[in-house]
Amino acid sequence: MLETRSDVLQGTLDLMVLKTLDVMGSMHGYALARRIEQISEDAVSLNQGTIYPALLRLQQCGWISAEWGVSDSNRRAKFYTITRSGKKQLILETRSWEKIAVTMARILGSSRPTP
Amino acid sequence: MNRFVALLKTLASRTLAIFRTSGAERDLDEELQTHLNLAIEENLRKGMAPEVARSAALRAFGGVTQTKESYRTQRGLPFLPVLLQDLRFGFRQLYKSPGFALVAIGSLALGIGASVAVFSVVRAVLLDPYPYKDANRMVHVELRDKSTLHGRLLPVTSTEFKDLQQLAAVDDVFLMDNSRQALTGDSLPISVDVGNYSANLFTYMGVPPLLGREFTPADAPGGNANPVAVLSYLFWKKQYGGQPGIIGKSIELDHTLYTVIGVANPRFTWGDSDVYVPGNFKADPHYYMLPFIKIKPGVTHESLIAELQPLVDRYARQDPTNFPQGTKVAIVTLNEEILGNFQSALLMLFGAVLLLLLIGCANVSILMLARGVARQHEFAVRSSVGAGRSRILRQLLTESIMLSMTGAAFGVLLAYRGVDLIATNLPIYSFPHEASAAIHVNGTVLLFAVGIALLTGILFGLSPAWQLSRAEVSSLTQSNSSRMAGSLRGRHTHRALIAGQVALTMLLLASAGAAMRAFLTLSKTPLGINPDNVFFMGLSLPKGAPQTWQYLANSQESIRNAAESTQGVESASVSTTWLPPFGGFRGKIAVSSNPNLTDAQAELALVSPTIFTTLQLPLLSGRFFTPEEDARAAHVALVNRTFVKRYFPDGDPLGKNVRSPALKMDNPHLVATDKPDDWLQIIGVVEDSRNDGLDRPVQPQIFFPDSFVLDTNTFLIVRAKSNPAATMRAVAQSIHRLNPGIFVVQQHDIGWLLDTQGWATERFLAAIFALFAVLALLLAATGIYSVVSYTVSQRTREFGVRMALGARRASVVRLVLESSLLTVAIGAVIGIVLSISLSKFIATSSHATIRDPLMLAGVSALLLVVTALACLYPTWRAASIEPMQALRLE
Repeated sequence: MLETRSDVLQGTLDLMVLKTLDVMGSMHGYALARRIEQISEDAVSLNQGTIYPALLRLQQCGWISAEWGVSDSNRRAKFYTITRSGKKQLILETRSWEKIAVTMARILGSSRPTP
Repeated sequence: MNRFVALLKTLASRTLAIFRTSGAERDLDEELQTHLNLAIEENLRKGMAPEVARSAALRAFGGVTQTKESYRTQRGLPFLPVLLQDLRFGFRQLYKSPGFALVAIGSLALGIGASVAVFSVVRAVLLDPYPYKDANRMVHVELRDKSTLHGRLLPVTSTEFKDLQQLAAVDDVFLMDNSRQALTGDSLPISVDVGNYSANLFTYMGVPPLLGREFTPADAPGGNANPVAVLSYLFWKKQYGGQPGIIGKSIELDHTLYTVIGVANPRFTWGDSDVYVPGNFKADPHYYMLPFIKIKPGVTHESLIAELQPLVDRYARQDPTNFPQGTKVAIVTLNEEILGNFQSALLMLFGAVLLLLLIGCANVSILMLARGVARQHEFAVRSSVGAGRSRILRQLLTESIMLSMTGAAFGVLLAYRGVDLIATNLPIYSFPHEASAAIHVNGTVLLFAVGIALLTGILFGLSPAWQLSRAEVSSLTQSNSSRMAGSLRGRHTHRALIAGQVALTMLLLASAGAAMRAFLTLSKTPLGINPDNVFFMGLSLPKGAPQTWQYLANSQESIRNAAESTQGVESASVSTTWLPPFGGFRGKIAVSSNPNLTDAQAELALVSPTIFTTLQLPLLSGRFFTPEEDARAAHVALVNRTFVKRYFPDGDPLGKNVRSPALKMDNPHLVATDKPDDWLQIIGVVEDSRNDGLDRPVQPQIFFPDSFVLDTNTFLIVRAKSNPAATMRAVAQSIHRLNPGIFVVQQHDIGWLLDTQGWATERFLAAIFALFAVLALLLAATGIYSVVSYTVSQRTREFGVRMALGARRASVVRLVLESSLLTVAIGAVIGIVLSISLSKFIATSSHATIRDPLMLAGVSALLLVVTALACLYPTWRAASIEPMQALRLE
C-alpha cells in the first residue's frame, strides 16, 4: 500500500490533526504526533517536527486553540483543542474526502478486472 | 466561506505577529524542548539506553532548526524582514557613494517632479475642471455659417428662451446676460462684472455656496420684493477682504440696492462674473442673451441639433441680418469651447515631460550599470553562498525602487513650486477658470507620483538587475579584469542608452525650437498700425441720460475732446466697433457698381476721423472725413486695401458707393442717424490692418463716422506721447471732471490685449518647452559625461600603454571622442527623424512647424556642442595622466 516515509500533504495533515483533536479532546504536540503515527499504523511516518507549523497554521485559521498546561509527567506543555469553526471545517473536509473516495471507487470499480 | 474567514484570520494573525517576536520565540523553544523530553521519556520506558533514547527521539523529530525556520515562516510575513534588510543595505550603499546618489536622485527628482507638476495641471484643467453637477451634459450652442471660420454662441430673447425650455432634449437651461455696472457706495465707484442670470442658475449648477445661500427661483424679481445678489469668491476676497460680515448687508449697483445673501464656491467662476443676480428679463424682442443648455441623460448631441435647427431657421427667417444665410447649429462641449487647441497643447506638454522623465531614467540606468560592474565581485560572493537569482534580483529591484521613491519625494517637493509657476503663467483665456482653484498637488497627484516612482524604478532597475544577477563565480578570481576593457555587453547597453537619450533630447529641442519660432512669428506679425503707447477705454454714461441722437453725438465728441486735450495725449478717437487686432462687427454690404454681389460681408468700423492718426494707419488715396462731416453723420466712408482688392478689382473705388443694411438696427438701445443703411460715398482708401485676429487674414473693412450709431457707451482709443499707464489715469481724471457720472468700465493698453489674447498660448508653450529642452540637455550631458568618464577610467591602463608606446595625447583623446560622438550623432539623427515623422502630432500652432531645416540645424548644432563638451572634459583629464601612473593603476 502506502510506501514508508511518504511526504504527507499539508492539507491532509491538517485534517488528521483536526480529527484527532475532535475525537481525543485536548492534546499536546507530542501526544498528537504519536497518536497520528499509531492510528495510521505507522504507514505514514512524518518528521514529528512538521506538526508544529501545521498546528500554528490551524491556530491562525481559528480552527484550534492553544493553552499552556501540565502534562501527565508534570512537564509544562501547550495543549491544543478544536474550536467550533474547526469542527465545522472538519465536517466540510470529511465530506469532500468522502466524495473523492466514492468517485474513485466508482471509477476503479467500473473497469473490468484484469485477468 | 469558512475558508475565506480562515484566510482573513490568518492574515491578521501574521501581521500582528511581527510585533511580538521575542515571547513567541521563547514559547516555541519551550514547546519543542518539551516534545523532545517526552519523546526521550517514552524511549526510556521502552527500554532504550539514555544515549540511544535521545538520538532516536531527535531522529524521529527531524531537523529542529528546519522546524523552527518553517515555523517562523508560517508565523510572520516573511518578506518583511528581508525587505527591511535590503532597504538598510541599499541605503548604506547610497551613503557610501554620494556622487552617484546625487546625480541619480537629482535626475529622478527633476524628471518625476516635472511630470507631477504637469500632471497636476492636466488633471485640473482637462480631467475634472468643472465643479458643476453633470458638467458633461452641459453644452454650448454655436452658430456657424460659411463666411466665418469659427462659430458664435446662439443669442436668444426671453421669449425664445421659453422655446428652448420646451425642447424634448433639454433637461434644463439658464440665461446669462453680462453687463458692467458701477458699484457705488462710500468709496469711489468701481466697475464690476454683473451677471444677470435666470433664477434657476444655482439649482442648475448644483454647487453649494461657500457662505450664506444662493438664489433660487423664489428670489426672482417679481416674486421677491428685495433684490438679492450672490458674490463670487474672488470678488469677495478682493473687494470685501474675505469678511463674512458682508452677508445680509446691501450693496449698490447702478444705484439699485441689492442684499448680499451669499458667497459662491471658490471654484464657481461661471462667466467670470463678480456678482450674480437673478435677472429680470424683459420681453424685449431686441434684447439678446446667452442660453446654456443641459441635455437630458442619454440624449445625443445630434438629437439636440435636430431639435434646434428648425428653431434657428425660424429665427433666421425673422431676422436675416443677425442670422446669415445657411446658418447651421453646432453643439460644442464646455471644454471644446474654452480649451480648443489648448487641449492638445496641454497633452503634448504632458508627452514632453514624460520624455524628460525617460531621459532622467536613462541617466540612472547608465549610472547603475557602471556601478554594477564594480559590484560584480559582491554579487559573485552572494551567489556563491547560496543566493538564488531571484533573491539577487529582488535585492537590486528593492535598491532601485528605493532610489526612485527618494527621487520622487524630492520631485514632489519641487513640484509644489513648479505647479504654482505653471499656474500663474497659463494663458488666461485658454482654460476654464473653474480649474484655477484646483491646480495644485493633491491626493490623486500624489498617487500618480507614487505610481510613476514604482514604474521608473522597475524600468531603470530591471536591465542592470537582470545582467548583474547572472554574475559568475569565476569573476571572483579575476579582480583585475575590469581595467582592460568594459564587458562588450555593457558597452552596447551604454551606447543604446546614450543614443536614446540624445534622440529624445533632440525631439524636445526641436519642439522647443518650433514653439519659439511660432511665438516669435506671431509677436512679429505686422499689425498695420503702430500699437506702442496706445490704450483703450470703455466708458459708460450715467443712467438717465437723454437718448436723443444729438445729445449722444455731442456727448461722445466732448468725451473724445476731453481725452485728447489731456496732458500727455497725442491723439484720441472713438472706435465703437473695432479694437485692433480683433474684429468687432461684421455685416452684409452692397456695392453700387456690382449689383450682382450677394452675401458680401465686411468689417464695419464706426470711428472718429482722428482714428487714422491715433493708430498711425496710412492713407493710400483720397482723404479722411472731417470732424464736420462726423458731426452731421455725412454719408461718407473709407475702405481698406483688401476691400478694394475684393470688390473693386479693376477700378478706382473713390467716388463709388457702398452701403450696409446691417447698420439699420431695430434695437431701442441704439440711436442711429437718419437712414444709416443708405448709400455712402467712398472718399478714401487706407492700408490694411489686422481686424480678424493675428492669425487670420485681413478682412475687407469699411470705416464710417462714429456718429452713425450711438448708445450710452463710448469706446475710446488713445495714443499717449509716452507712459501710457500715467496717461490713462490722467484721461480718466479729465473725463471725471467733464462729467462725474461717467464711469470707466475698462481700460487697458493694446500691449496687454496682445499679450493675453494675441499670443498668450504661444508664449506659454515656447517658455515651457524651452525649459524642458534645457533640462533635457542638462540630463543628457550628465549621462554622456558619466559614460565617457566610466569608459575612460576602464581604459586607463590601455591609454598608459598606448602613450608609453609613443602615442600622442591628442590621438588618445580622439580615440575615445570618435566612438562617443558617433553614438551621439546616431542619436541625433534618430531624433531628427522622429521629430519630422511626428511633426503632425507635435504641431502646437500653425505658425511654425518642426520641419524647418534652419531651426533643426540650429538645435542640432547646440546639441553637438554641448555633448562634445561633455565628452571632452573627462577624456582630456584622463589623457593628462602620466603614462607611468596609468600603467601602475590596478
